[in-house]
Amino acid sequence: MTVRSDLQQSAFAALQEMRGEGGVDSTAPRSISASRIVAYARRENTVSDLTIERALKEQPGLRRLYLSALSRSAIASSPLAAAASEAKLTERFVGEYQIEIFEEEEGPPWLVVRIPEDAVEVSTMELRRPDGTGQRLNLGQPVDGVLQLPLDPDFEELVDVLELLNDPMTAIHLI
Amino acid sequence: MRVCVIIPTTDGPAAIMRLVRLHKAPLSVMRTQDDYRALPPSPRYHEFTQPGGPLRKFLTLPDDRFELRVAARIESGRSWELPVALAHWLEAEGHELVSEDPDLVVWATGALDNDLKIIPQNYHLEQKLSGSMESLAEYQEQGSGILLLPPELIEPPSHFDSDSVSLQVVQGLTQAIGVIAEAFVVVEPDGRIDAAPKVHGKSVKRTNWLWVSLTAVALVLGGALAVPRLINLSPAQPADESGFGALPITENDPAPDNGGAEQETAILSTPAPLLEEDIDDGEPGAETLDQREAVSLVALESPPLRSTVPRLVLDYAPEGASCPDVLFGTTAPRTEYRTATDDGYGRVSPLELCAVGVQHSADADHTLELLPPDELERHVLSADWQGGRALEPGGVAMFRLRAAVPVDFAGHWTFEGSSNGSMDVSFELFSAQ
Repeated sequence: MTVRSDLQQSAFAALQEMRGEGGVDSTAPRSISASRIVAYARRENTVSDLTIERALKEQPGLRRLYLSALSRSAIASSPLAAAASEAKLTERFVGEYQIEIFEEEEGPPWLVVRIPEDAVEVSTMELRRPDGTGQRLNLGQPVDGVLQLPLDPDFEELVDVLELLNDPMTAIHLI
Repeated sequence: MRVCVIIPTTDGPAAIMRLVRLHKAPLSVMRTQDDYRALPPSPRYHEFTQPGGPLRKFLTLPDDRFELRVAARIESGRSWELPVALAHWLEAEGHELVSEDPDLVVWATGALDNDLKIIPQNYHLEQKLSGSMESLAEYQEQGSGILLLPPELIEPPSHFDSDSVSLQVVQGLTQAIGVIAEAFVVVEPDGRIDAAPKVHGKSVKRTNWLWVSLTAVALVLGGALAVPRLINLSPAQPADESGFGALPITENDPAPDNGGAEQETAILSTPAPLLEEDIDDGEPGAETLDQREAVSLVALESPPLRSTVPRLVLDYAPEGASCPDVLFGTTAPRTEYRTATDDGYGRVSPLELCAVGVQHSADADHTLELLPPDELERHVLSADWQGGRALEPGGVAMFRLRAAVPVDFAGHWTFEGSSNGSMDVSFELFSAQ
């Protein structure tokens, strides 16, 4: 079975599930198509579609479809952190990729992603909680196999990132 | 000192806003204030500053990485390397890197090779300087001193206000650091170091005075530096020659034969512009363009020496002037001489003493090897300190004093190579003669 047909199967199954749960009114027009959800999961940019983001929070079926599509297209995924929920994240593995957060004496904390030798280079990270809230982040270009970003709260798109990373229930996908 | 380092680009100046040490993060990063993402030169910046990189071969930096934040985007090229290296040196020296209200603005550009020399290439200097004019003018308005360090001679725009601005062509990081380091030296008559001194009786908000005679300081940088081309955008004051008629004679000096002497410092009193070809004017003593020798081989038509032991030469600030005036060539020193006796050169007053040195007899038929007192090294401008040097007959070796002159100092000058063998002549500075 090809990847595309595999995704279509998943989409169909999720749609059926949504209808069964009443998440979608089979008599009312669909607000967001499954293909649009899948395309959003597979996008290469980090631009947020606010309509879809809202739908992901409000519609569990759509959310499951999205997360399924995201897991299939990501290079590496980690559904949740294998750590005590009270602990702040300082290190976490997503597949073979190591993710760390460093607190410095001065300035914001730094997010570091280490790319193992011979591993596929990643450039994007998506963080997604079970409730559908989340953030996609452009990690930039690696230097010596390391991606490094300041989690500077002066930037709106980074405000929630540290909180998401510190939540062990957050799924991390590297794209 | 608050210093603003500007990275000139063809799109305008990019001031360095912050340089923060990262103790844990593995990469050094260059970014702007407006974006959390690293700038395109960031990988090169990491390579440039990391252990084993070019910068650490020259500067002793902590075992950290850095976040360098600049005010504007730098898209490509490596001409940021010299100003960034200077920023790291300034930070390591304890100066504060700021983009607002600086004491000093340093404008520099140049990609560096592995020896930290500027790589010759087209740096679009005129475009970069033109693009920086508005920024530089604002800093001038605020009273900041401006130091331009281009890799080659450039003509500033005609409307450029030259007050408080100095331009020094540099060929590498070492030379640039030397220019900046010497610019920080200020010696008051009472020996204090003052960051906001008065200039010609007028108080200035910042170190504008530095720039009046930075030319002279830049000329005497030590080390194996190429002779730079200079433009002093603030012309030096003409040397005061009124005191040249008769030098004060100490009790140990022989009576002068010619009733007086005229001293010329071939470089220090020459007003700008000063180019290489202007210096060799045939005056005795102005025998070479080498910076150290230009200071050392001062033409002194002074009473002839009657001893083979070099005599002590003392440059004091004349009445109404200060050592900074002498140091920067705006006024000639009041020179005294001491001939060695059995008690050495004896005690010397350190009050308003700007430079000390020795002069070999013009009648001598041999060259001496001079070894100045080791204890003097930390009191002497680094540009002048060379340790041993040769003294030709009639030659003079002068050492300009850096800061507070020690009031209780004793040492020996050692001269080797005479028929008497090695000679050690004592030398003392005491506050009360």
